Amino acid sequence: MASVSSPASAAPPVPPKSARSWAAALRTRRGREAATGLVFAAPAVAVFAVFMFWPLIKVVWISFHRTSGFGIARWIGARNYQDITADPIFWTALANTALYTLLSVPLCLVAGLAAALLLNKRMPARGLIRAIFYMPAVISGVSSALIAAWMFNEDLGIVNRMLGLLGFDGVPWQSEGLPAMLSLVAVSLWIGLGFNMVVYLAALQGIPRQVYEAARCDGASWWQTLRSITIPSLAPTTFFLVVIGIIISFQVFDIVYVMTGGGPGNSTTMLVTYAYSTGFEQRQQGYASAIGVLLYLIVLVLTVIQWRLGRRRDSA
Amino acid sequence: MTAANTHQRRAARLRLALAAAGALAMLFPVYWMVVTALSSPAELRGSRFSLWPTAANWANFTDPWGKFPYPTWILNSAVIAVSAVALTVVINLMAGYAFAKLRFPGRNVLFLMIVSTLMVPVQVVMVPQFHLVVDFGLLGSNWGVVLPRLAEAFGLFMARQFMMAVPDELLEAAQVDGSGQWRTFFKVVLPLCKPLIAVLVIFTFMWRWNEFAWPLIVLKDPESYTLQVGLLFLKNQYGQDYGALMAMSLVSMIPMLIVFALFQRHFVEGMARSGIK
Amino acid sequence: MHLTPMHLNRRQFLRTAIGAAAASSLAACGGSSSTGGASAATLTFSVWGSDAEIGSFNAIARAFEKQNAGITVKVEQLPYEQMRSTLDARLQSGQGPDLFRVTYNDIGIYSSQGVLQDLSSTIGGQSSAFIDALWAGVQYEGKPYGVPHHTDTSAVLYNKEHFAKAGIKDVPATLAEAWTWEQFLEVAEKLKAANPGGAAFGVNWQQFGAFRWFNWLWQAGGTALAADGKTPALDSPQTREALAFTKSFYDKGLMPRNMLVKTNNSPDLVFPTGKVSMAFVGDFLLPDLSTRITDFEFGATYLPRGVGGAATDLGGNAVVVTTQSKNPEAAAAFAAFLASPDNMQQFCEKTTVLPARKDLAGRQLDYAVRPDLMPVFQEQATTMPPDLVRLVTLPAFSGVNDALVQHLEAFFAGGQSPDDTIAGLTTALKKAVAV
Repeated sequence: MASVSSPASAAPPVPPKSARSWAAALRTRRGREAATGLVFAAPAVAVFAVFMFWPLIKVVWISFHRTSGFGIARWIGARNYQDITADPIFWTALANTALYTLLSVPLCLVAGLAAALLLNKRMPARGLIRAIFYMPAVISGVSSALIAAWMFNEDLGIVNRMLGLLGFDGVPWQSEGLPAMLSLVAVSLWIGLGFNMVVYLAALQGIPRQVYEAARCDGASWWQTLRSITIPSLAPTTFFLVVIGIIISFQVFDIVYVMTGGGPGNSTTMLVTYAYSTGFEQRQQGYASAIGVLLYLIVLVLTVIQWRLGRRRDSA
Repeated sequence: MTAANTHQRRAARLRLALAAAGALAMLFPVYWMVVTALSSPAELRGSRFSLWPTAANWANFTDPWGKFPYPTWILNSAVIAVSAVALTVVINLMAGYAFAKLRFPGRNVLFLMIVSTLMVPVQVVMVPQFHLVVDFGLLGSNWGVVLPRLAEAFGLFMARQFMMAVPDELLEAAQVDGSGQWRTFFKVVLPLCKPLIAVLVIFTFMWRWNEFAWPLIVLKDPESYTLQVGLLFLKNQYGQDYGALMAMSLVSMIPMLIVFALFQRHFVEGMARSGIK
Repeated sequence: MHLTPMHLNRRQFLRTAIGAAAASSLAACGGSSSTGGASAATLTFSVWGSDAEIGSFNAIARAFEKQNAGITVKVEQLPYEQMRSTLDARLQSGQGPDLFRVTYNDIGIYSSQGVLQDLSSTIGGQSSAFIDALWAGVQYEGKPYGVPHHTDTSAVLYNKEHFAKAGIKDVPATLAEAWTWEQFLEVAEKLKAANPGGAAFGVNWQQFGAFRWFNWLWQAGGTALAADGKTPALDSPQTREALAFTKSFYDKGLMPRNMLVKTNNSPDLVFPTGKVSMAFVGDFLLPDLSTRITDFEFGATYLPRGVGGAATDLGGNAVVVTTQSKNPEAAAAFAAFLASPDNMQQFCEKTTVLPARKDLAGRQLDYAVRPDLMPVFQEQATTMPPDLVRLVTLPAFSGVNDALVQHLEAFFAGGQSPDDTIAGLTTALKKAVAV
């Protein structure tokens, strides 16, 4: 940490001619602030430049190559991207990822809001219950997926056994596409509910109490209050959670990798699992990188669109 | 008046019942892990099943424990997670302050660039990151695992949002008193950051502790593997022997749960004050 | 972002800076690494394996160390499913191990990329000692790039209780009596009827084992490449028949529907649970299975045979030396040591696999586990079709296996037509022979 505590050593070497103007700039309040800002931001910026921006540039570079195995790569221009547009599995993976997102994000939102509303009220052991709701989020993806794979095991899993006890047929969680997808969504709900709840809880604390008191004086019912006060006040939070939710859902990997491997068929193949299997299992890193670049662009565009919509709504 | 009271009491009881039911549902998978971990293979595949353990079958814990160097792996995981947490917290606190409160050239562009990396799946940049680790001569070392993961945009984003909510007047007052930026940061800003630190610690510890694909590639020596990498061995070796798998999953979760229990009290507050709105 | 002009300088700078920091603090972290210059005599041997295999590798490594003072052999165990990605990443960066274990299907991709040591001068002299097909399997452009270590093959394990319950008494005891496809289906239907809630059998064509589907193609009298060994010949009635027959396993509920191709839910994992009555498994799984199966008796019989006769897959592994080894001679010596008659015999006996040497192939080995079942595997191994062996040892065969995973899964469960399946596999075959 020695380098951090002395800002002078981190200042760039200055050519003599402009030394005076630099020194002058540093003497102004603005200049000092900018110098300190750069120093404070430097460790983060350095780490990102080296370990994130540079690899990203390299990924884009690799995506214009044909790679077979390791080592030898050949420049092929945009061929990988052309091939992707004609690759049915890519489109299936995109559709699956979209379906997974469409199911998982709203479910997590609604369940998270319900839990937050419930646990915003005073009750015994409230802290403990909140912690229990959040707990699955801190369990590793691999562990969560392992327990889920075991619970949703078609033959021996507790879910089908309970269904059998209630007189229902077992659900083909592992051998049919839609149930397999639903089992993934169920796991994502278990993992993601807590985060949504915590963020909603945080936002609920920001709504002034007087607003509710006024509404109660007007004789508004619980449902009316929820619809006309709580949900509108939480709109920015919901927006934030949707953005984050989409970003996270589009990157789903661990639970798919462990639970379904992308099957049966390609019914749970997601963009990241497909990129992983082409890159690491089939050793086509150029193609996998192109998928990765497209995935990044898709999420970026989705986010920017949402941001625009969010801003327009805010200003309206 | 009494009618309203009983109504309120009934509503409170209903809420408690709902919350308890929800909590039980959330707990059930973990409970089922425990039951599975204590069951013998024959019980798990039998046609009858019991919702609670019928006998404690510790072999699920002792068998894999004897086969792999678990204590070493736990220690490795802890070293990696703790050093990653320490570095991440320092970097994010500093950068959060800079991006929230200090004007410097390129600030907004840099911030947007960093935040946009939230959308990059780690699997996609794994190969070039790996080449960097090799170039730096860090292959096989804990630093090779830790350093690339310091580029974690979520923590920086949270830190900046949190610092934005610190009132400017507070900082200005400190500076009128003659404090420089450094003093202000250490004397005024940092003491306010406890909830933020709790959030950063929980998230970072959780991510680093739970990672598996990256450490497996970077670490070369089985003696230096982490607990999550060890779980992969088990998954390969035990396949459908869920008793052993669940037992070792539980072992791997406990340290994470302890960290969570220690810091969770500040957690909601930290999230709230990060001004996510 | 002006990274490019500065990049070299900064990279060098960072390497020194970070390297120094890392070195100084790593020492404090528990001394896990042995990367110093003094490691000149350490060989790293990356393997995956069962407990029996790892134990055996270690025993042989210790014996080698005793004979070669100053050399240490570190047997590094990697998880099987991550073996490829981990090894590839390291080899790609020049950080590969000295030796590693590799399947005959996968060896080609490594030898064709120049990361394997040409072993002509060491093991090359012993070419006639190894079974011809396996020796052919480690060749690339006429040079040996590995040491055949062992081979294994699939046969059928069956649950004796389930068979008794279904009233099945005659289980084929010799290769000549092996069930025909029709008889096999009859037996399977009986088993299914007698054991409600379970499935009759599971075939081991999951993931890296997808190529085992070819057994059925060859049994049907089909083939993948024409006699010239270059032209894909999949578009045949035999292929269609093999496809339809194997798909019917799932459609008739004879094979568990959650045991498709992409899954890691393989027969050897499910067989001990009693949810399948028969399991197609490789002999190398016997040590593991016999400890896991505690509550029923099991026997072994032959793979069914079709109109094309009997056919089974070439499994097994070779040991290769990388060009990245700092001690290539010592590494090659260790590879040869592993394949010496005594050590190979010891390995095979402990891990129930078949030797790769001709002089051992005829000998009665003293198998440590279920020696009563091993003759079935040994006899079954005589039914590896030579052209199938050539196919699976093509340098680019792993691409064919990937295509099998993709297309069989889509055909069995995704409604893909036989035509599309054949077309997809043909494309992959074309690519493989073009290399």
